[in-house]
Amino acid sequence: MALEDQVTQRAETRLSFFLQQQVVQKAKLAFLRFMALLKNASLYPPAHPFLLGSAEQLLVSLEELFSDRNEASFHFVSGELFFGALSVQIEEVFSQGIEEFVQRDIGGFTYRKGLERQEIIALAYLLQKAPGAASGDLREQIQGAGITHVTVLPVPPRRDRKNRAGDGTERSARELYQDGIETVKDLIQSAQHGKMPNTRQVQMLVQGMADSIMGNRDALLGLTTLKLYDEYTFAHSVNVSILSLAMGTYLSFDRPQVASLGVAGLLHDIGKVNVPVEIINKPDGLADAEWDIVKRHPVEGARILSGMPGITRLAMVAAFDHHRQYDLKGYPHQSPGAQPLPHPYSRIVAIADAYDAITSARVYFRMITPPYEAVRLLLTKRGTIFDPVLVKAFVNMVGIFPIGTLLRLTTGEIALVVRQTRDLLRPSVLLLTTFDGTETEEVSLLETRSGAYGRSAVATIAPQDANIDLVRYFQ
Amino acid sequence: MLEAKQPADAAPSEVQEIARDILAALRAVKLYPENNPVHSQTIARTFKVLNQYLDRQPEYHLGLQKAGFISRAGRITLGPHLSKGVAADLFAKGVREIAFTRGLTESELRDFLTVSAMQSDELKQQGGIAPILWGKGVVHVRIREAALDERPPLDGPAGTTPADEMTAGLAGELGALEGSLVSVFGLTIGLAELAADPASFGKQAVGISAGEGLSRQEQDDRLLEVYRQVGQQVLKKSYELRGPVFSALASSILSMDADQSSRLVAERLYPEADALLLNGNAQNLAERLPHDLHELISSRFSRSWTAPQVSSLLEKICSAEDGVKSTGPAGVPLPAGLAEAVRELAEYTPGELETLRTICESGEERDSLVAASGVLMHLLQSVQDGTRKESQQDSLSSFSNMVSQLEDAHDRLVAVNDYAAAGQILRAFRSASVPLYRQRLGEAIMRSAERRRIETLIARLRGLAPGAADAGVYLAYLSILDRQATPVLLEMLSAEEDRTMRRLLVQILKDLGRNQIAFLGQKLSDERWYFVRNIVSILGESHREEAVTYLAGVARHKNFQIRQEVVRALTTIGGGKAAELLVQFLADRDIDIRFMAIRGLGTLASPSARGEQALIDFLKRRAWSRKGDFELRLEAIGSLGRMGGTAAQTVLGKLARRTWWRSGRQNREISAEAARALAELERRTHGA
Repeated sequence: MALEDQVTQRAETRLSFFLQQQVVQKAKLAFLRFMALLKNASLYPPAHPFLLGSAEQLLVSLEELFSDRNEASFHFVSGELFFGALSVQIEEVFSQGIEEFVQRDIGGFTYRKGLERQEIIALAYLLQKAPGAASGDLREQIQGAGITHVTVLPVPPRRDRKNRAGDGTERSARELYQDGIETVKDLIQSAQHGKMPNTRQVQMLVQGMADSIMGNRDALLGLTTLKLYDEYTFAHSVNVSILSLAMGTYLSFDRPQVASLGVAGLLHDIGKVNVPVEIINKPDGLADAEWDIVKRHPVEGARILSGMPGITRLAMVAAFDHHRQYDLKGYPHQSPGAQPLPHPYSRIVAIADAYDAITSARVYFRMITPPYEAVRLLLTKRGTIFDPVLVKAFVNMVGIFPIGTLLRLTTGEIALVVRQTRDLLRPSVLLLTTFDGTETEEVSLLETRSGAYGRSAVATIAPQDANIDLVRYFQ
Repeated sequence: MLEAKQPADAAPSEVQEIARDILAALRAVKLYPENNPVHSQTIARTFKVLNQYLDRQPEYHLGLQKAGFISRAGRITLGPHLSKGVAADLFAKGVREIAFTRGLTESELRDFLTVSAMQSDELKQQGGIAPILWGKGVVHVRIREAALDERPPLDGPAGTTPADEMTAGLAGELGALEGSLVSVFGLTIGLAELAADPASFGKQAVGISAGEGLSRQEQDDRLLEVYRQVGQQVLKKSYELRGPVFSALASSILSMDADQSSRLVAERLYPEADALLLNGNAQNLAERLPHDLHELISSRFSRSWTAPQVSSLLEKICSAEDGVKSTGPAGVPLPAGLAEAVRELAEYTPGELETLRTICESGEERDSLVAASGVLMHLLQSVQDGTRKESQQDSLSSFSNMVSQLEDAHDRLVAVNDYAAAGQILRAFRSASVPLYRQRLGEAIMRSAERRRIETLIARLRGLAPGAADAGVYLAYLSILDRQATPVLLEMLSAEEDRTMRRLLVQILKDLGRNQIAFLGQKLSDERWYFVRNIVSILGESHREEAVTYLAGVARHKNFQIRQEVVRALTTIGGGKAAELLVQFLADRDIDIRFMAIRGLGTLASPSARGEQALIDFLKRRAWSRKGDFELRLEAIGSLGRMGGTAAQTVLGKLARRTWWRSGRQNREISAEAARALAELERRTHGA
């Protein structure tokens, strides 16, 4: 298995989100101290107090990381710093250091418990004294210097979209997505006929989508951005489910929690089946009384779901809650004194619902709104309509430039966003050269050249304006 | 997708043996607890043989029928005594196929066996075997369950107004349309012909839009453009004819192939019309996210459009200016300040992380119970409000289902000691605003007040440290149960021998009893004297004068302990009515009770003239020959001193003087007591 795939192993991601963030912060501090040590090694002799001090600080940071593991591994992948499988955001000024390491075929370092100060200092000097030395030479030198608790890692092979490992049994994201549409259609039809829907089918679908997202979040998430469907009414529920699932995995929910969230997202609008057709299909604007009827759908949805055994109760809660708003000024209104905050799952579904609505408007209304407009709108409604912390988490998850966004770069190239990185403005992209779906080379906008970012986004492009069929890139 | 085949021959012996081991493991897990060696040994043995098989084959498959198992490799011919019960159980739980795949771990096998052994009810609640296994991360055991292939009946074809109906309506307008022409993509089309045969125009329009190498989206765009061009020309040149023309155009759309028609209406006409609505109302719509219009858009599940609706859409779109603008391939530049905004998003503050940590812990059992209960309670009220159009039977059925779920939630919350949340549910059960639903809610309350539940609560209350905050929660819960709890508590009190427990129960009943005077009063007719005594005590502690009415009913009870308790109760309650009743006890046949009554009269918080007179009459009585009469007299004198007024003062004055017809010792004692009482009376009256 390629090193890059090893990077994506689940060890770190099994931690709760809270612990992950703590680990990321500690890892960042350790890396910064490592870079400070290298800088000091270039300026001061080995016994200098500054050097000793920075070595000691680094050791302290590493000891904190060793508190629940025997090894602490830092990897440099396409300009991005990873600690284990966790991405660590660092400022541009440190990217040059990473760039230099990579040029020397140094793909990272593994530190092991028992590491001593003199080993760190010796390593720092070795790295300074032989700036052109390749990692192979360096490994020999490290061994020769008696540094036994540090391993230099090679640079992983560049990410190639066609060569992703898989056992061939996973269903494609598009198949899952289409299954989702069919499942929602079946659900709606059952509900319209007053029949009990096939709840097993719902569970299987959500589990399949959850598995897909946990394996590779980008594929299904990309489909929600591309809006590659004919019937938005049904696709909307699928999109909200996918976005909710993605949030659940981003927040490291456990599997049952993720599944509940996905089901809640899928069924959040089921109450709409009971809105009279003559109101829904009315060509003109609705009267206030008609809007009031439409706004009954959360209660209707909760009622429908209350009668569905085998469906998580939280789906009923989310259906009821998803328009109540964070500041409780939404609907349905509840009696004074009986207004708890909407459940966290409901708050997640509410954000996903709004995000899909805004991003779909671009396609549905053919509006010229850039992809980050959705994020901007969500952020303006933090604390009122939406939970402020969850909005922040959602934006970090989905990115400023969602997967599937077309960017024009400073180099004049056109690129397709295929993966988020820790830096929201610097995703990993596919450089489009032939525009025929054959491109496979992925680059990260985090990659630097001579210490500066090589490429940056300057504009977003609507796919229809560029005459690019994005479907080919998300099979 | 796993598929079962019906093999003709028996499976190889290795497959059969593995099946036997799996069945044995299923039975062992069900019969033996985890700490029993048989449990773990059976699993280990089964895993070993399965693993050996999977080293050579990618999968081990078992299909289920009601009476036994089958395999892709052949029939499983295990004895019915071994397989039938297990197969029937799994079949009833919805399992149809099981596949163990290479990479299976012992822990996954254990999870599969354990989950398969769960009760059906519990499985149903958690969604079934497959979802539970998925939740545990079991990836090398695949279950296919029943009902996955069931599909609901398809909707009928998209509602259309038959072209005949439309054209019949247009017959009258044909004459007016005669001679009117429009040009579309180089073709000339007569409006009269269009109106006469809309379906043909529809086919023609589809033909115009089709083009070599055009994607479906591009064809749909052209199709819309055909209609737009027709409509715009009509509006421009023949405005007065727009009615019949747009009706015909609508009819032509609805007469198209259902898929084509659906795409044109749902993905072209409505979005264009919605865009006009949005642009004209952007400010208001942006107040809410997602905006209200989106709620409408995402509700359009039905494909039953009417011709008037489609006609209206067309006219609206054709009336608007051409809208879709393109930025061109240069794109939209990134706004200034974006980097700054992103920087703020980069890291979570400690407060934000703490919030996320709490959120990550949500979705657990208790949390989802509380949330779901809140929603169900709201729904209960909405059913009673009757806003939905449905039959009474459906309404009752929904209501009952919701109450059942709340009952279940209540029980689970009580099981985890969350009486605060459980109490909220009880309050909801008490909120019947419509008589129709009261019975069902009453049943729920009665269930909650079952003896064993209250005993559990009392046991928990008893286990608390003094002053614990939880005590208030438990008592609040009991107070919601109100008179449903009281009889149970009274019974418990009657049977309880432990003094500490009795005190606790009495205290609880006293707190509850304050608002249940009439209810308790009705129970005074019980045959058990100790039961009645307890109630008398509780009524006394209520300090409510209305209790006196009920106490009067047992004032002459044959059991002297009850009469004693009545006196105590009256003394506690105080007031005029109590004094009136206390006076009756001055003639009680039991001397201790007479004594208590005299003392009671003297200690009433608000002295009563009737009481004073009764004591004076008592003292004036000539016959003092019974044993204890002298002590009674002394007590009466003392009481008069504590509560008497002017009349008492006169009597006490006389008694304080020695009289010749009394014996020396008694004379002195009476005089002395009278003097003390007089002094006290004078102190009271002068001090007041």
